[in-house]
Amino acid sequence: MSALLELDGVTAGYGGGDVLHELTLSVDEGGITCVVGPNGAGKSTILRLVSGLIKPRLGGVRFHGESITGLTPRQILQLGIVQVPQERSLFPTMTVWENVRMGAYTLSDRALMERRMRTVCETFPIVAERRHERVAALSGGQQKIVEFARALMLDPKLLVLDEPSMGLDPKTHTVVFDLIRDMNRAGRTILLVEQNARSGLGLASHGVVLESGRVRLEGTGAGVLGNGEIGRLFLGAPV
Amino acid sequence: MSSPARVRAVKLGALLIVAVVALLVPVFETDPATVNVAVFTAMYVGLATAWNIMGGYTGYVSLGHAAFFGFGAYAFGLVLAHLGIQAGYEPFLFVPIAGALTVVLALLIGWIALRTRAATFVIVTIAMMFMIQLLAENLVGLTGGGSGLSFPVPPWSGDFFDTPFYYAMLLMAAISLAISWWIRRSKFGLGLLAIRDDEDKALAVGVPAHTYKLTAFVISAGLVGMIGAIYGYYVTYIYPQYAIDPLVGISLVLMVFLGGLGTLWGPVLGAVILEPA
Repeated sequence: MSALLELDGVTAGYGGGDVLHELTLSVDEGGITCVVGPNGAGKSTILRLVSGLIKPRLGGVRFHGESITGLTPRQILQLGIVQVPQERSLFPTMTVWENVRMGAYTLSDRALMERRMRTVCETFPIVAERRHERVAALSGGQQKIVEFARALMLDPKLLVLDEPSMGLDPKTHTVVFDLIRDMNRAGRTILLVEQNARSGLGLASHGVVLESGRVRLEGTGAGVLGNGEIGRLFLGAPV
Repeated sequence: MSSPARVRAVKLGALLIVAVVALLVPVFETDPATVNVAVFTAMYVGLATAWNIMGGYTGYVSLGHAAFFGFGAYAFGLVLAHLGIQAGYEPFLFVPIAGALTVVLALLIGWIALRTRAATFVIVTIAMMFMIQLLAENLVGLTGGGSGLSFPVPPWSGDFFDTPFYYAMLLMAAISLAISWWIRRSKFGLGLLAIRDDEDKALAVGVPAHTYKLTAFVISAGLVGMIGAIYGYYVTYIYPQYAIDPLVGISLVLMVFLGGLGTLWGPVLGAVILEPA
């Protein structure tokens, strides 16, 4: 598989302090790359970097082999890198339908938007079933599904998911992770940042463990998950 | 008939009945005092609906819209005087000019005021209203200052006097409602609602928030200015504290909150309840 996204020797952080130190990481096209690590390892900083919310002090970010370092968040969005943030990102007073439409706000082609809407409804039937309901009336898991639906409206080349398991009960957690797997099987490349190492790495084709802004270990998801030392060091116990 | 189609038919039927009743008010009610109340009710329906385009859809509460109301009245009076327009029906044709001048003022004020959010925006709009009132007071050569500004007096008899103004106000209310309805259904309106929910999230999904807020502010102010122009012609004489009255601004906000903020019919309901009361 070829690399869709590459972080090449990136040093980045906030204010005067660096969080990522000469980090090199690649996300293979068509796969699920999962980044795990303890708090403060730099997982969220990677996502902010990829979305253009912060810029690297050293090194660069490439997408499809082209540099995207320094592009604005809107330009990065238009390239097809769409992020589903950790916190609730829906508009609470809007209906399910309106929220999903907001995902394609930058699209000016109405016919294309309607086609995407139909596709999204097929993938996530809840969007059509509860289209007239306000999202505030949905459960946390259902809102997460609507967030996925909204993200797919731009037909992203790379879907960036920030801790999708956060705040979900076990049953909903299974539903959400099954959906992530389904989206990947449909050809979507996914970059996943997860605190729940077992869930994230269990799903991933490529696992990365971060420590203090550096890659401590990488390999297949199952390979990283099976590494007892890493489990004890970074994940609290053997996973 | 399917359920959504039946709901739509019922809504259309209700709308038609309301429209017919509104159009027939001066025909069946000849008491000038009652028609006078109808004029002000129609005026507040238009004002509240216009305010709702900004305050209701974007969540930016302006308490200074009375400035646009008064400015529209002054602009209209000065245009009529400058062009030497005689009293009668002809002045109504010049109401859009007052609206256009109010739009220019709103562009200037909105460009600055909309750099702020929440409570700061509310305070800026109040300050802006008092500045416009002060200017109307002090620019004596232009506005007449405290002595006020007179309009041509319509030549209609007492029994009929209110009727043309009622229909003019009703037309403005209908135009405001039509614009509000169109915005609520449009992509632009969806962007405004996103701004109301969370402006930063709206920016993140590509809503050009500043441009949209300014556009909503200007549309809202332009409509309010046109209604102010008709009001000025109706009362035939204005002075700063009367035309740029904070109570007008507060009343229309109250009506929108009472009827339903950010809805199409809420401002209408609020105005119909509060104004005759």
